[in-house]
Amino acid sequence: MISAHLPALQVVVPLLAAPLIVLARRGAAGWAIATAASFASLAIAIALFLQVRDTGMISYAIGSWPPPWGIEYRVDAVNSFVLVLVGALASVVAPYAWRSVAAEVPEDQHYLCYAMFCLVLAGLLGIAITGDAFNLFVFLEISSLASYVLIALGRDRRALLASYQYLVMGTIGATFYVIGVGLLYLMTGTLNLADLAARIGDVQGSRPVLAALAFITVGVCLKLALFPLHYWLPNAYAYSPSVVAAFLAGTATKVSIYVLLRFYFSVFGEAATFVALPMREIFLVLSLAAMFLASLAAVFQDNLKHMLAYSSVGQIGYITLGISLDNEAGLTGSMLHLFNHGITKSALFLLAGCFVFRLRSVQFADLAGVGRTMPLTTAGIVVGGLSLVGVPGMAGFVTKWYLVLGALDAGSWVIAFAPVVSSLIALWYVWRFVETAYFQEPSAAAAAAKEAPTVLLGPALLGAAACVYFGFDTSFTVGAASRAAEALLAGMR
Amino acid sequence: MLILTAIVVGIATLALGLALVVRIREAYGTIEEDEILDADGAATADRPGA
Repeated sequence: MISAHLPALQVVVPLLAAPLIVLARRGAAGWAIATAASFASLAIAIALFLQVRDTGMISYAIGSWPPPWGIEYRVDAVNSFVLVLVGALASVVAPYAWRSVAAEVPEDQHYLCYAMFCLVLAGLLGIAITGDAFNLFVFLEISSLASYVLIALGRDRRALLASYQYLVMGTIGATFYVIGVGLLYLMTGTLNLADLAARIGDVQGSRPVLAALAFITVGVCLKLALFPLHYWLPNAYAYSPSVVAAFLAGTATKVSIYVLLRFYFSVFGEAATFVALPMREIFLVLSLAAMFLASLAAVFQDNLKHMLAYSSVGQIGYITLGISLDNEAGLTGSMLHLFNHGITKSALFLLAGCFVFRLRSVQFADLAGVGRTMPLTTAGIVVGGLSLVGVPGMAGFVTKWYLVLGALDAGSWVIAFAPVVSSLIALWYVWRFVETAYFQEPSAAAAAAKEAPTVLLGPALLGAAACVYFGFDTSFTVGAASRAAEALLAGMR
Repeated sequence: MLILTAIVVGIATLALGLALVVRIREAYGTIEEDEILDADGAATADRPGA
């Protein structure tokens, strides 16, 4: 039966799509295959999500080698949610890519761009679905290498530099991760995450295990751009093609956060990470720093994409804040924000891509007065921006609500205020855009612009609409996030 | 097995990194980081935190 093999197909479909696209050697065929693979991934992710919701964890042995010897794919409440996010964003971004890639990438590189897109998709889905620590590393590198290439495809030559910086930082991150996994293998003799969790109890607290925890923490935090390790992120998002920025901003850092959660709660266990070590305090400080400093940096950017990228670093602070609270409401908030911020930021980058398409620029100077000539795009950005701020009725609000609840559960009034105050900074940078777009005299470029074509605007506005939809109908997101939080707190049993 | 895989990944990363260096050299005519940052107009808006 095909349905029994869904976990493998989740990764295999986009992974095989990539070489097919290279063989096709045509931009149009490449786009068609990439889009089909994205839709298939979303369909499989939803099927897995429903199956996990109804019948519980799915364990799939690749090649029928029984775990822990073979590679196990393990889908539970946590990663099925992440799979849906990645599949959904890929399905929104892929149709948009058609015109956007045509406008921003040289024609002879189109098919390579789509092939790389499929590889990133396969890598990210693989990271999320695998139950094997080393397999996770391989997928991490597949997605990273492909995303370096995608970023380097940007029109601006600074994209090359941004990609190179990301390559250096990303490689350090991945190497640290694999060193950590090596140490764990040394101590436990297994690479299967569930088996690791069972065996790590005997060696818990020993120096190699602590070193492994440190290496994995720093390595994964580099990939997820936690505040002092975010150096690579703003330029990588700002200079890459719009499609790439939109896809990576919504998925790459989010999947890394999933890896961190998986290791902390499922492998090492909550007691070893948060009780025996001061990880709670470390994450709290870094999250607050991200929420305030990175958000402040966003206020002073002159480029819309740079602003959105710094805002991403700030918003990642919210997610890690929820992790540091280490209680159910906080983790629900983290999982929720992982999803809500993913769709919000993707929508914003897609809309920014509409500006790139018409104005060839996202500098605030060129965006002046653009609200008059591109009203839908501008309104979409305002909606997404309000979701970043966390206005009631927006997806961002739901998250912040849970984070505040989590902070109160943890008994801290001060932390409960942090998301609220940080929201004001977010309001400040969103307001800067509103002021530029609506109240300034139109720049020459903006006055001559008209709305982007429907194939671009449609998916982008769909994302903006999703920000509103998930602000009102929270049954899917909150239900999935709270089941994920429960599963995380229960450990891997 | 694992080390072999890690070596293969390392080679792939190195190859991509060197390819990027070649492209940077084509685009900027130099591979000195200082000169590259200068070439992009004092690099004010590009440096995170600036």
